[in-house]
Amino acid sequence: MNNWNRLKSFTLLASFLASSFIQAAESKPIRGHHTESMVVTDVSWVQPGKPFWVALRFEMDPHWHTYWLNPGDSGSVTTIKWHLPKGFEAGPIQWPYPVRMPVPPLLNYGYEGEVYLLTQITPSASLPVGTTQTLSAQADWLICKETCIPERATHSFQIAVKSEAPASDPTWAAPIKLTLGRLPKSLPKEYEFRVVDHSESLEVILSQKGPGRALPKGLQFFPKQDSWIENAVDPAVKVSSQQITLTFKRPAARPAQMSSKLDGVLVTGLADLPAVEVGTQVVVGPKKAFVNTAVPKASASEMLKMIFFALIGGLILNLMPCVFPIISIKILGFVSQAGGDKKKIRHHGLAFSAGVLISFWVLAASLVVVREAGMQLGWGFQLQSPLFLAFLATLFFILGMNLLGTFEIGTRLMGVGSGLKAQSELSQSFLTGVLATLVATPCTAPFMGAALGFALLHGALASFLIFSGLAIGMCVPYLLLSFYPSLISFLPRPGMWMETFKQLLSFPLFLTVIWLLWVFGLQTGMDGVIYLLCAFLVICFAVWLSRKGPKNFRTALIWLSILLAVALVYQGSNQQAVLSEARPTSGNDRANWKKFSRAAVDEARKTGAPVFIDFTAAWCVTCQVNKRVAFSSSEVKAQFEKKGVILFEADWTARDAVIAEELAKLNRSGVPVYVLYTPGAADSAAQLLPEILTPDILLSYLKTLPDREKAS
Amino acid sequence: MKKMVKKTVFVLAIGLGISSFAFAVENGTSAPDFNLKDLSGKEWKLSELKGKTVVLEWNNYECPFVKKHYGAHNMQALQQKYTKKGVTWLTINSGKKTDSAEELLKQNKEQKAFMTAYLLDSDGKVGHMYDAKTTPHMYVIDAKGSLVYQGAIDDKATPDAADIKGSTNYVAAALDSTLKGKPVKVAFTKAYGCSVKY
Repeated sequence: MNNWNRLKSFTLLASFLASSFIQAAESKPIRGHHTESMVVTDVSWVQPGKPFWVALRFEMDPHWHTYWLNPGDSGSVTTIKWHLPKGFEAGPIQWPYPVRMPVPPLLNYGYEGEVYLLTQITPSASLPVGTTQTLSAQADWLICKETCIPERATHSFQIAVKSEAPASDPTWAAPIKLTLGRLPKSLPKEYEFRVVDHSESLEVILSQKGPGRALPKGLQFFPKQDSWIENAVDPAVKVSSQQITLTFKRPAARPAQMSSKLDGVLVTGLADLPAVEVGTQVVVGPKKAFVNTAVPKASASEMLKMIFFALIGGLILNLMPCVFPIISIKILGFVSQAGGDKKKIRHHGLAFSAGVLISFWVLAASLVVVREAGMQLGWGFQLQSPLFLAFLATLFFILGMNLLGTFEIGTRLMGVGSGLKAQSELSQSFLTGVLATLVATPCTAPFMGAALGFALLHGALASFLIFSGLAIGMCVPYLLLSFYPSLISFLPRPGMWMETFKQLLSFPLFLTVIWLLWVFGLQTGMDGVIYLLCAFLVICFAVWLSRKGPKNFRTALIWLSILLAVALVYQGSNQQAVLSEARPTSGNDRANWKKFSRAAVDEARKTGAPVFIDFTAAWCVTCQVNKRVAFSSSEVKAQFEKKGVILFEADWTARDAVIAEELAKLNRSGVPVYVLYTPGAADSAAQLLPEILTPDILLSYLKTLPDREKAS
Repeated sequence: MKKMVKKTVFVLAIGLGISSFAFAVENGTSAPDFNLKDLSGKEWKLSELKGKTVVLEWNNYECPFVKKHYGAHNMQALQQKYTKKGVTWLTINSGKKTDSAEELLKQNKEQKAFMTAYLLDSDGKVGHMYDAKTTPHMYVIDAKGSLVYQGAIDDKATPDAADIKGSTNYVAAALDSTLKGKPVKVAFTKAYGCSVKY
């Protein structure tokens, strides 16, 4: 290019450099380990008496972070030591609102990416004009990803003092202004903030005090002081139009003396007020436990383990007393099909499995829906409803009658009120699968306990996967037999013995009816049972009518009887058993067992004695078996006495929200659950015993307890 | 055999269920028992140490806060002083991603460490039992087995070795009180350091 252009570009460049040199109120960036730091101002020069903002700017490598005023469970807060010339005063660091950084099982509060930590500096009004001042700051911080690196950098910059009002710094004024917007503001008068300490939980409440500004849709709370909340545990959130409540878990380990004031920052998500500075005197409220409603993220390996358990659980389900009768019917179906077409058998196997799988999915879906609806619900709720019990009992009674041969319905009536008979046997296999699931649900087998608790805790996807595992486990024997018909050859050939076998299988069904009647009776009393038995009588009558009744009006009479039976069933379900405090739950000597309540248990534990809690229900067969096998053992009773164990029974036969919540705290959704508190143990150190108990198992736990000290 | 299998699986199930919860020990209660192996494979059980005052020091040589105390020979001096007085000093490393036992033995030698034993807690179970959050995180257990102090080593939560001089050492104070049979004045402080790498 020619000389003239060269001169022009040179002048341009020089003036540009000159201007930037004069206007640069920033330090040189220093590149440390994973951070680039510098100190910048929002003004091009200072005016005596007019405060200005200085920012310590961090540009952090991806996934590396620095810490907030309260770093959380670990880490270290960033500090700045100012070296200022006479006439300059620096305030404390103004922190933009942080983010939560989980480092399981811990949690930190801090910043990632880019952050400006602001300090307001006030030049004195008597500062001499026309000078250039040098300001310097020593910054110390911790930068971490998985490892941590402490950093220190000293930044200095020069700035001119002029009499006129300062112009904004062309580069840094804008980002500093943005950061100023992210500083917490004072609480608007339309809101009220308070905190209630419930010893094990902490309620942080933002409520609507006056009109003019609506509450935010969501809230995050960052405490400035330690030991008030367990940082890593998400709070339970309750949002209404008037109030937002965050319930946090309080840490068990905390200093003996704590200040009663709690300060913090609320992050609202509102565009015009993203963060609010709050502080209050903490009010002490009644002791309330923390209920973990958060959905913990399960690792892939954990999920696989749980699905494996669910599969085994499903297999074991086939052996549970309340499922076995249906299985025997299943086997019967096999036997009749053994001589038949292999492909057809396979299809039946698949249809049955589909029935089981889909029913489990429906169960999972409804559990998820109801769980979301916030109802207190648990595994086995079906058998807490008298109407459902009556329905099942009646159904099984009719099936038993059919098996016994008192009446024939062409093909076996497996379908629940289905209209499909001989035409599509596949659908009958499908419905048999559905029936098997309905009865399986309340029987919590050992492995299922933890798997179910896990699934309910981990949300919709986990629930579906676990339930699928259970379903497949249940179907495996049947599927196996239907796909390898060669194994069927090990099954006996059809013959007259089939009829006898079929009739024999009615008896396990009748036994199940008796058990259902018993549970039904506990809920509806003797009156309810009588109603139901009358319904059975009417059914027997209808059956007799179908064979021996008058040829005319036969159908009409049968229908009348059925209607009567239904009416009786309904009436019976509406009966209410007389529940008294002294009601012996499921018989035999539980005279020295106390009724469960959280308060009573806490009282008992305060006495220093070991405490044992039996979460049970009348419809839970495993519980009843344990009662008769393990708890009735005289040696066990003697050991309970010797160790001074205080015994509690939590009866979940009826729908009970309190007990459901207790079970959820123990990461369980069904019964039985056996809890042992050793003397002096923390709440979290409760021992859970296996679901299937023998006297030996109980004794091995009791042996670890110290003997009861004789009162001296 | 069946019972063993059932028991094992049950314990696994329970363990999986509660491994997501961190325990915590309140001061004044009995310190939870544990059984860990040291770098030479020898087993150490807390319950067998009844009658001795025990210090638990959560450690990770990579952490700048641990380097602060070891670099200035602060930790080693504490270890030497109190092990001479009969205290059992157990240094614990929780987490899967630790160095090998040989590497750690070498580091102990280089640092001229005086701990009674260096224990490995690779599944993090003991760390969770005590709710150990940082390295270092210090615990003092008296001769009867009660937890009398838990928290930071001193009151200067920085990685700067210059801050050791002039700081109040909570562990030394707790040990002095405990060895004299007196109650510990400051029983709980917030521990500082890098997070434990579970």
